[in-house]
Amino acid sequence: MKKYIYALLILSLSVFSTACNRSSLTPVKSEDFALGTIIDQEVYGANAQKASDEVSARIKELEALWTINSPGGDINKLNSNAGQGYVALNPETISILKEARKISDLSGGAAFDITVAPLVKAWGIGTDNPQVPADEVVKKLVSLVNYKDVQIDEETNSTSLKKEGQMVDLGGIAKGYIGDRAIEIYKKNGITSAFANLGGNVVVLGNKPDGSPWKIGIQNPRGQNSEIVGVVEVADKAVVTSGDYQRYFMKDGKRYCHIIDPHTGYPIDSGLMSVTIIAPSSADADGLAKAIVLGLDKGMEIVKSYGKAEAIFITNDKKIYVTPGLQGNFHFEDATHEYTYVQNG
Amino acid sequence: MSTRMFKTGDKILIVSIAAIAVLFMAWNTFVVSHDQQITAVITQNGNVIKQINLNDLKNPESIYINEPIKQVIIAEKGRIRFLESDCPNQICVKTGWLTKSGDRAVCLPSKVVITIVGGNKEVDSVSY
Repeated sequence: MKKYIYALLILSLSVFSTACNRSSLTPVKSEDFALGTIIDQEVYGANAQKASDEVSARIKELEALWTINSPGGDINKLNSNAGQGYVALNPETISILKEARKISDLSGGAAFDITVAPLVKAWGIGTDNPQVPADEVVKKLVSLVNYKDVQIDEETNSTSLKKEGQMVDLGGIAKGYIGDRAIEIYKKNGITSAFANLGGNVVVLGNKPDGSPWKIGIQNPRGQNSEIVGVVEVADKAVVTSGDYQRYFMKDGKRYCHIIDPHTGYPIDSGLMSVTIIAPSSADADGLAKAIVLGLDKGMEIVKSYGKAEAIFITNDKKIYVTPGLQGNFHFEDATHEYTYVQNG
Repeated sequence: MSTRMFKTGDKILIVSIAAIAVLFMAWNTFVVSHDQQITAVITQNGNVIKQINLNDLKNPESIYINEPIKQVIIAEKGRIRFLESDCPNQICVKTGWLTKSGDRAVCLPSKVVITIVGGNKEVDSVSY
């Protein structure tokens, strides 16, 4: 009898004391400014500080390598040698260019094409001097867009752009690709629970330390400061959103967003405000999110053809469509009551 | 019978374990009530420059950022915002009032971020 009472007391003591473990679950949180945005990390475990520092450092290295304006960077080298043969590049650059090609192939370049850069530059959306270029300028630049003209020689780690004037911009895939590298660095350091948010591109490793999945909010495309329209619960996934609201400018009452349709050369006007992709690879998710260019039906087809991703599409008329595999896991939470969640859509 | 079941040492042990359990409960309760508080954390370049408990705030408080650009942040009971900024796009000012845990205003040009922490956070992060 006495033994049972002691056992009960000790049991209850251990139950009460579990709450104390919270202190040992304090994450290392960091905030960095890179890739033209803000980067957050939340990392748990013994090597959290080291892992987080390594990720921050790696992001800055890759940024220097890939920023279109970075003199001496790989993308700068590639662009300035357009039409003049192959240039040797860092193996990591070769790797991201191959990844970009894989994503472009899904839509034949209709949704995602890194050679859209001359048009991105002509429009200047997100810079201090955005403008509407003349139709003939747009037409001329569209003729330069073709992701297949990025020729890769893997044996020599070198790449060429076929025609003079062609340019590559990794803006549509770099954050995603770097997200995957962050997860690799966490794993290498023995981390089993972490997330990184690279300017809205979220990657999560494992579950939260308490074993529950990470809760990732989906931005309300017309909302303010972290206003969301729903939540997905994920482990070991990337959650990446492309939206028409991230960078845009208004001219003569018309809204021009920063995502350029590679086939028309004009900012997208597809009836979609945002596309969120949930996939194991953050680079793939980033590229696939450009399904926003294609509109609801064709965009959904691309996601389906890729096979390993789920998606949330939000239309201009504030209807939310999700892929069948996500219907049990998308929690519609719209405080504004402006959106409609179209189930089995 | 029951008095004979426990010796004095046993009783002391039982009472002390019970006391420890009560202390844990009290501590947990304290932590829970502490969780209801919301705090604004202001960082610049990733370093915390000020933390303000928004529940306890009686009078409005202004925080001035001078470098690299001039900015004014204003905190009131339960809310905080960028009031003025010399940055070109005014994204930070347009973000408006932050009122609940997880709300955030970012100024990329000045690398100043206001984040509300504490309370019950609805999500761990936001995809945008």
